[in-house]
Amino acid sequence: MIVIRTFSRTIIPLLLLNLFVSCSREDQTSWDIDVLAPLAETRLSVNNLIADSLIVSASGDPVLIRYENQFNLIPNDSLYFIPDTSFSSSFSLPFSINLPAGFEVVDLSQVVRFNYKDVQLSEAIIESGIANFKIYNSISDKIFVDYSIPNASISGQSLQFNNIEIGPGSNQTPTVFEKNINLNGYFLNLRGDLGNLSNQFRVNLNAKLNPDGNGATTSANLPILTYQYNFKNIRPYYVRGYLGQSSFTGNDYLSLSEMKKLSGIIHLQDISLNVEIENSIGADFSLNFQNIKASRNGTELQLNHPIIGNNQQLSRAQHSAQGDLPYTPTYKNYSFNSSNSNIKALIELLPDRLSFEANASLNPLGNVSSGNDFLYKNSNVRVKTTLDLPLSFSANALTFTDTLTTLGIESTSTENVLAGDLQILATNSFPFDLLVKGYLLDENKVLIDSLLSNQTILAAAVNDLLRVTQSKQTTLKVPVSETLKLHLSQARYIVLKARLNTQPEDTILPMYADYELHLQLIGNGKYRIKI
Amino acid sequence: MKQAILFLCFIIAMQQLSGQSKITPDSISPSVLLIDYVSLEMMQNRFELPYTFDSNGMVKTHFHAFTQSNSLPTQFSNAFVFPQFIDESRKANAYNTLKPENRFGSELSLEVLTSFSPDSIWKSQGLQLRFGYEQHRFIAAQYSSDLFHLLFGGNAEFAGKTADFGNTDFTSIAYRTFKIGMMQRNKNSMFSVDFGFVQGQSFTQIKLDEAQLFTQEAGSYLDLIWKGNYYQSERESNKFSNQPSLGASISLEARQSFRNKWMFHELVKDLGFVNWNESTKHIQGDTSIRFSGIQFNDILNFDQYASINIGDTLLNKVRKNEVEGKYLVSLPTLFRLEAARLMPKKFTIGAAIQYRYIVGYKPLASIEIGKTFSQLRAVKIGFMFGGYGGFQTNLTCVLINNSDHCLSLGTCFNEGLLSPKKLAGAGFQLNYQIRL
Repeated sequence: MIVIRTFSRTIIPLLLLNLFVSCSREDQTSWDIDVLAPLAETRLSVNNLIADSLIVSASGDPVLIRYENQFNLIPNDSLYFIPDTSFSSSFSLPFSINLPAGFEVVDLSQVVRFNYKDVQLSEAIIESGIANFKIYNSISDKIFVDYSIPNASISGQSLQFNNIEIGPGSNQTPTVFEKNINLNGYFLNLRGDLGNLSNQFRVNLNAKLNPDGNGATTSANLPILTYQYNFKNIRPYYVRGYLGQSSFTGNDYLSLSEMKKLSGIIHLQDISLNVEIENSIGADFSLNFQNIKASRNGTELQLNHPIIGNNQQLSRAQHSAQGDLPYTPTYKNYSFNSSNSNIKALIELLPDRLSFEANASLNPLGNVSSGNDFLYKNSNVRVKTTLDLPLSFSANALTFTDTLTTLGIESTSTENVLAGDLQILATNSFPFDLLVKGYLLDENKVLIDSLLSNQTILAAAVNDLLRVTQSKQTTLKVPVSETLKLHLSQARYIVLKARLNTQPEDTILPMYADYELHLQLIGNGKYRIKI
Repeated sequence: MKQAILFLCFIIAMQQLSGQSKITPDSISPSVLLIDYVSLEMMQNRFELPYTFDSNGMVKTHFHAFTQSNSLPTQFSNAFVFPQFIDESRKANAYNTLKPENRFGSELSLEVLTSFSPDSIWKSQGLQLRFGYEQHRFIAAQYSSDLFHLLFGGNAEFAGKTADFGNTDFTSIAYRTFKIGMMQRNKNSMFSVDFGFVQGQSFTQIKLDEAQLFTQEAGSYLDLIWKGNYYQSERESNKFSNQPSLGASISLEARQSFRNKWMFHELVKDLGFVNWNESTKHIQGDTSIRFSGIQFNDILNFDQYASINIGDTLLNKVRKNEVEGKYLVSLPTLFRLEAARLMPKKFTIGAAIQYRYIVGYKPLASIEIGKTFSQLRAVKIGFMFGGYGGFQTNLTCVLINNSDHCLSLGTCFNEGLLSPKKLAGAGFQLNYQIRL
């Protein structure tokens, strides 16, 4: 009985505990299932390969790719700047004197000139800038100052300030008055007093001793009044006059980065490159395209055309409003195509950029406008380039190469895959074969495995109009092995190579926006489920 | 199971070594010999010793665990109870026993109940106060043959075909209950009522009125059509940091004996609900989905800063309409009626019918025959039909039975008792009572 009692009070609770513990999962229940399911899919159409913004063809038409670029030949601020200008002056007397109340201390009229080499500006409208005006009063009574720039006006009112009161000061501690005048919107007449000069305007300053005071005594040879002007950061919205003669060199390029990943032989249909020059400056230019060239990996090919290297005259913009613009630009167009240039050969090089370099000379004939050149803030000589590339080609072993980076396909996502094949079901409506290969590289870019060797996605057939009407389906097999799983986990780079050959060969085939390559990764194998 | 058998042998050996146990005539109630008056709620028999059952100062523990199916071989379901790999031969056996409508159930329960009569209050040991704690987990399912093939064989065998798994129900619920109640015991009857404070722990319910999966012959797409509901509580809704999922229940029990020959037993257990908290996920579907792989867009985007746009998985597509909110669920209430009669030579015979309110459970009818031996040790064998499965048998032994302790062990063999290869369910139950 003692045994039973002991058992009841010790073993039974332990047994109950043990039963619960044995119900806990120390291992996992598992079983294998045969899976046949799509895992991933992607669709590659022309729209996936080329940015939508580049495709300009109408729906149903062969794809036309348009690359556009625009650059200014004249660097900003190089023509229409107004230099910072400043001056200062002090007034003193050679002897001590008692100045009476209301004494006129200063009555100044001074011409301010902007320093230009050969530019002769007659008028300007200021968009932004500051006129800083500062007076130091060393007289022991207050003074009253009048200040004006008669040739600067806004809404018909000239710039002036009267009866500015400045408190008494001393030679040791003069009283300082400072004013910043915002010149935004001011019209500046730079023709001088008689209207036949340029680049200058007049500033008037008058200072009187307090008329209601008792006068003041000055010390010999010490300043009784000092003033400073400073015109800074002046940016005109508009200038007029003679803009002088100068030369500018501009260069830019059209990025064709999509071509970087292509190599091989391609024959293209006609290509056109249009260059439009817009002159919105009220001055003549002489323009010279020094070169237009295509480059790829250090290989360059220059465009051959009669205008290359020869001066072209570009007429001035007219000072008459057009739409929202206060002027009417002038234009000049140059078109390069297969019949007048070697542009097709340039593009068949599969360049990653198309470079332009041009030189422009301002007023090559001098001041032929008698000082009536003009320039607005946004005026420039703009070069617009448009490359129209019909996506119609014949390709022989044209190879597309792309490198994807990866952190490795972790084994946790594949460890339950026991065996079987991965299939790629390719539904192709492009009229070209694709030999697709994948290479797995480690972190040192050393090849560790390859995928899809020597398996070709077949081309869809075209009809008499060279149009695909029915897509072609091909199945590619990707055997799954432990080695492949290991290499997938080690891969840091995946290099994809697709070599395409148009079918039929040597026939230029137009590509349409509805062509696509539909790729599906299908798993067909044994998978272990663990719960 | 192996442990249980070893334990059974050990107990019998101990009993033989222990000599006589203490039995006093006063402690024997009229229903002493009706050993099946508290038959197990489920298909298992619950063999408790009656003369101590209603006594004052009793602590009663009960544990049972079993799986049962009308089609699933025990060997197969055991792989989930005792985790192991399910090989192709096990699957083949399971495929052979599949029926057009298949049912499966699994229960795991632990109950502790103490009752006492505070003399200063009640002045009578006939009225007792009861406190209890219970832990339950139920998994029940009703499924088609196609769904079973799909889950355990994969969809490859359905290439070019449609797997139909409509009319599928699955419920998994786990909860614990703190009970307080009273029992009135008279000479020939007892009646008890217990109120339960329920805390839900986990809940999953899938109900598919219509569901089909078509696998394209080459595997290029899957077409899923489904109409139904899916509910999923938080992974661990019993965490203190979470808003609890609470509920309430009531249990009623009555027993009457007549002329020391007949006994009737009525039971309603866990009539109540759990209100699963606001984090319970719900998906209502009435849709068709074609899945042709996770979509990877812009994989050849030339912009080095561009990211690949990845589409939804099939599961994500299904979960698109997922919302969260409270969900009120009734508990898997047990209803039981039982009658038993004492026969000559200490034999008993009883019949019962019971029903549990859970998916896939059919009314369970049972007939049980018991034999009491010396020192009130006893054996009982039962034959049943219904529940989660079909025809079943069970065997219960009362191993220790004295005024202080009562221990019984039982198991069910179901069809396997007669035809081992067709076992369709197995279980184990243990009852232990101690008088303090």
